[in-house]
Amino acid sequence: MSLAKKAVELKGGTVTLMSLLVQSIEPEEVKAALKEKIEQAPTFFGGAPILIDFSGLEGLNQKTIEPLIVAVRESNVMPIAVRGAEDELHDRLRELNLPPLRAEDKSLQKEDDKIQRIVGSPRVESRPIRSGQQVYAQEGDLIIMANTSAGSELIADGSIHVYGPLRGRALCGVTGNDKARIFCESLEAELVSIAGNYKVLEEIPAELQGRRVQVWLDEHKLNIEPF
Amino acid sequence: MSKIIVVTSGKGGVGKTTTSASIAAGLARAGKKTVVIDFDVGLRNLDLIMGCERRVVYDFVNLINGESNLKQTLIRDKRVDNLWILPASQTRDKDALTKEGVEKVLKDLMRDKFEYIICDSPAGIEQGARMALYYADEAIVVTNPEVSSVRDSDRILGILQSKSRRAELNQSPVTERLLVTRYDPERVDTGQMLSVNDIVELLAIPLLGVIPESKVVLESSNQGRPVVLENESTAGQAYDDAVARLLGEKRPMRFLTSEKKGFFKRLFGR
Repeated sequence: MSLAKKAVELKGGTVTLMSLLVQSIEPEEVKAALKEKIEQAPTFFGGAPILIDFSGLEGLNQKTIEPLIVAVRESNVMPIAVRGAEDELHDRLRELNLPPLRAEDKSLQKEDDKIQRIVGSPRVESRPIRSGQQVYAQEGDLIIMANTSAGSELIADGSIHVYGPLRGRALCGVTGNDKARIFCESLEAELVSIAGNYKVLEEIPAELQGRRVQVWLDEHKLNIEPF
Repeated sequence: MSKIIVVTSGKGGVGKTTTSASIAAGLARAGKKTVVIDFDVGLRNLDLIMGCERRVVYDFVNLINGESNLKQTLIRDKRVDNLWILPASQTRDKDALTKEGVEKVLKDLMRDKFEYIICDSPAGIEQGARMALYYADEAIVVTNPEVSSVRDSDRILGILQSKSRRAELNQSPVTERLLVTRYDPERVDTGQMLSVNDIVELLAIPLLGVIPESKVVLESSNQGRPVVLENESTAGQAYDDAVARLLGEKRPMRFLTSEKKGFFKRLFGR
C-alpha cells in the first residue's frame, strides 16, 4: 500500500530556458526583429518556450504591455513567464496568463558577496612543498612563499600564488570558481587546472616553461601568459 | 644534551649505511661519544660495514623488548674510541619497531650521556624509515646525482616536515642537511649526472658535503671499515669535511671538478 504511486509529486530543479530581452516599446518593431531571428533558425525557435525579459525597458505600463506580449505570441514562440516588469504590472500579467518572475534577485546576490568576503582568508605556507605533500586552501587562496616540488599537489578553492618555482600540480577553483587564477615565479608544473579545466606539462608551450606566468580561464580555455 | 641525527634518503642503495658509519666514526674520532643505530630490521647491514658482525649477541629489538640491557647490546668499536654500534635484528621485521620502544632505547642512550645518536634509516617511507626519523633533531639526506634519487629525497623531506615528532609537537623543525654521494664530476660535465647546484636548487636545503665516486668506498665496505678512516682517499677526506661541517667548522667544498689524470692522480688517486 505504501508502495502505491502518488498522484503528484513536487520536485525542485533547474531548467534551461531561453529568455527574450525586449528592448523596444513598439510591438511592430519587436515583431519584425523576432521574425528575422526565427527565420535564421526556424526549427530551433519554432514554438520554443521562452521567458520575456523587460528589464531596463522604458515606457512599460498597463497600456503598452499587452500589445508587446501579443506581438511575441504571434511570432511562433511560446512565452511562459515574464520578468523585469514593475510590481504594479504583475496583476495585469496574470490576467494575460503569464506568471511574473522576480527580477534578478538582488538580495541573494548581496548574500553571496558577503560569503565571498568572509571566506576570503588565505592559507600561507613559507616552507617548501615537497614531493608527496598535498596542501589545500579551503574556501580561499593558497600562497606559497617557497619552492614546490615535482610530485607535490597544491589545491585551492580560490587562487594559487607561488613565489618560487611551481613544479608539482596546481589546481585552483576546485569548487567551481572559474575566476580563480594561478601565479608563479617559474612555471615548471606537471599540471595546472582551473575549475576542472587543465593542462599537463606536455601541452604547455616550451617557451612558457620556466617563465613567470599567470594562468586564467576564459570561456573554458586556459590561458597562460608571462607577466 | 644528546643530538639525534637520522641518515635517510627514501631511495635504497644511495649510501645511507656507508654515510652513517662514516659520520659516526668521524664524530667519535673528534672526541664525541657516539652511537650508531641500525634501523634496518630484517636487512641488517651496518654491522658488516662497521666490521663487527661477529660480535653481535643482542640487538635493537631485544633491547626494545627488554630482553637485554644497553651494556649487553651495544658493541664497542675496536678502532675508534667513543664509538658504539647498536645492530638491527636480522630475524624480525620493521613492525617490531614501535614509537614507545624506540623512545625507551633513545632515552636510555641519552641517560648514558651519548652526545650523538646516529640513526641509520632503511630505504622506503614505511614503518622502519618513519621510526628512524621520528625522534630526529637533525637529518642528513643522502642523495645520488640522479633524478629519481632527488625525487625520493624530496619525498622524505616532506615526511620529516610533517611526520616527525618535532613536526607533530609543533617544535622548531628538524634541521635538514644534504649529502650528495657517488658524485662523478666527469659525468656531470658530460651531462650524464645532475650537478650539485641542480640538486641544491631542487631540494632547497643546505649542503653538508659532496662525496666523490671512489673505488675505496666499496673496498672499505667489504673490509668492514668506515670510509672516513681512509685518510688518503678522496671519499674519506670528503666525509671528514662533512663531519667537520656538522661540528660547525667552515670548510670549502672539494672534489667538485674533474681532476686531470696525471702524476698526482697516480700518486694519490686511490
